[in-house]
Amino acid sequence: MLNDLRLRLRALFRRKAVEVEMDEELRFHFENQVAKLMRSGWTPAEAQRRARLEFGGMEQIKEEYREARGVSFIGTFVQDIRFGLRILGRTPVITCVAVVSLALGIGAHTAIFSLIDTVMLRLLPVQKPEELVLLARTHALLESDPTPSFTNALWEEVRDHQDVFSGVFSWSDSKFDLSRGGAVRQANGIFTSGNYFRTLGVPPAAGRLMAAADDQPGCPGVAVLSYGFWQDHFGAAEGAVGGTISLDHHIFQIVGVSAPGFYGVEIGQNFDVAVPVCAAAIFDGKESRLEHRSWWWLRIIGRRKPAISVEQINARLGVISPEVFAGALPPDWDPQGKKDFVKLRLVSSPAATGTSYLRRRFGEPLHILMAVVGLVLLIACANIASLMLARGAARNKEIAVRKALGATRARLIRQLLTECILLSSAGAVLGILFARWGNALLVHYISTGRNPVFLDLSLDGRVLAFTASVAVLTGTLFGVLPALRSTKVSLSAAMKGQQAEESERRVRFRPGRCIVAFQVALSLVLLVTAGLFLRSFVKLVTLDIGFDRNNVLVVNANLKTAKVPRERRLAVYQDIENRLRALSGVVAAGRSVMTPISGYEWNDRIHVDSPNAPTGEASLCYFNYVSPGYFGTMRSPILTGRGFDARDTSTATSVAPPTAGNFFCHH
Amino acid sequence: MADRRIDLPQGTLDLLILRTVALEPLHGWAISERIHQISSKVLFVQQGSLYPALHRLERKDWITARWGVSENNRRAKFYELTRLGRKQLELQESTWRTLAAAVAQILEAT
Repeated sequence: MLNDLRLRLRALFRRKAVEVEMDEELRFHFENQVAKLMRSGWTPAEAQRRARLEFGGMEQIKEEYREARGVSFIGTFVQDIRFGLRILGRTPVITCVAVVSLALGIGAHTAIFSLIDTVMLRLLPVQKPEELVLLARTHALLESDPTPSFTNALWEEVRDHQDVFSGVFSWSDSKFDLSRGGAVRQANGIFTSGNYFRTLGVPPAAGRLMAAADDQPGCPGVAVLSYGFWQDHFGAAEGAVGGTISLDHHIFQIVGVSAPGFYGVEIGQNFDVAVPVCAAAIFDGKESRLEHRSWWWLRIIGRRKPAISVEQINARLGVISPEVFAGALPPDWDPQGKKDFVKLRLVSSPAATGTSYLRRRFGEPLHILMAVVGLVLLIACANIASLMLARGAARNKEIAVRKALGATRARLIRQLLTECILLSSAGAVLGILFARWGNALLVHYISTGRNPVFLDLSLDGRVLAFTASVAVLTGTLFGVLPALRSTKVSLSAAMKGQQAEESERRVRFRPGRCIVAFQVALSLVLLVTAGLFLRSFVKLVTLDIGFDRNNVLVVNANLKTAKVPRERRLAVYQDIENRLRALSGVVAAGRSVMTPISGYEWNDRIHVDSPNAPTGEASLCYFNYVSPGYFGTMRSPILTGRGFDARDTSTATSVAPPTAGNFFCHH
Repeated sequence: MADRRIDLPQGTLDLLILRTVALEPLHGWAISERIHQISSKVLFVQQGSLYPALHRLERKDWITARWGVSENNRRAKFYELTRLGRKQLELQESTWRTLAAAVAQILEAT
């Protein structure tokens, strides 16, 4: 065994020496043979000829000898790569075209896969992520999807009653204004319960992280920074820890920085600052969301004890549910609402990959995109396969010569495939570059001004493995057919030259035709898909959404965090609106509480004194507070009646302008 | 070359090589000559099979190779049997004899 290894290694690393020895040994044999023949009376020339005949092909023997050496696989692989590079370099235009088209295909594939990987597949960078489960509430009777949001009272009940988790925490996303006055500078914040970091197993990069003691009623408020935020805003200064940060004009003490690479449990967002849940009282004042029993703002994740399965957890959660919900009953709900409330049950689902709204929204589109890009890559493969076929035909002679010198067909096919995989690997390397741009583009596309999407798109092993296998697969795919085709050379025909090639051409056409048919078929599928996409796109662009979306800018102003007293806010808002209207270039200005299609909405039931007034779900209407300038600015047509104007002051009777339809709140 | 040549049955080449180098270290040409002569010019080992076979045996550690000087004062690669090779030779020899005897018996019986 040891000897075997020694010989293999020697053949691999001292290739030249081994080759020289082999040469010498075979020549020695040959010369001895010639000498022997001369002794038996042949002339030197004749003896040489006979010896050569006996020998067969010297190169062929060497090749077999090399095979027997056993390292030929790696040895010839290196040789194939060298030769392949030389061949590819000889036709730079074809090579470039092939590499670039492959790079586009592979790059698009990699870009989409790395999004899928980041959004859906990657485990949270925390300790034993597979133990994490997300809690949700579901109604025992209604067959609706579980909702993963909780009130603070419910969270406290869960925290105090559960016995299946080794740790459990709640959190909520928020936005904080960092400025100490002037223009708003927003940061992504999270409210976290005291054991958030400890349960996840995220260590501090500096200072300390949140502890249970920080999350007590009436807490003074401490803040933990994310590593990225600490670097960008504090230059990673040690002195930042112990300093203060202003969040919505409240001063928080910075106690520490979380480890790099941890961006929170919500994929698609990164947190800059974490504050304890109890700090909500600091922002909200008297009627804080801590007390409010129908403010569903928290989400809960638990770490299951190793020995307990998700089913066991759900069974146990079912048992404690009545107690939990009874303990957090909203006192101001009507009797029916209260009855429904106590029938809610807790359920859990695995949360190893964190939570993300992106999954629900973009999971399917991403997979469709992946399939479309796959088709494009297949077409690219077909293109290159025909290029390779043409080149194979041009290399007919070379292949015939190599075959005549003793190369086996398998060896030639391997050589040709190596060239193809070289091509596709070059395409993959360039493709990874394209993928970086493609990713930035995709993320930009799914981000909106209010909700920028943050994704950690660093290349991980899974993405690289994916790209590598795509490269090998495509290389093989476009290489196999041409390789089989062009190594099927009849030696005698090739030696006869031109004519033989002519007669071969008729046969050679068949795979070419198959490839073309395949390409046309795929292109047709793509064309139809593109047509459908375009149609939907045109529909979306021309869709009447009830207002003119062109040239509308949104300005957000939050007077509450600017500490403007409640009674003065209306006047200040009015003043801001007037001043905006006075700016040059501004045609109209109006204001509203809800921005249309922002994702935020406000609805309530309305009651009309009319015999056929809608009831139940049908009476649910969407509301907005708007100023007189609103409808004009948005160019929303008023179908009947009038819009608001200066007559509608806070002392006048409320007017509701009908916007559309027979019943004024439909739409 | 009017010798009556017989192609070697599969697997016997190894045995022949081992037997040939059992007496003294030999280089490749000498091995093929020795086989040719001792078999009364019946067996002829093609170079194309000899050298790969030599190398195979070397990798199995049944023979070792070492550079030496040939009878006509040329550098040549000599192969000799290892301990492992000797054991292997005995094993293969007895297998072969049993097989040959059995074949002979059958041929004579019919």
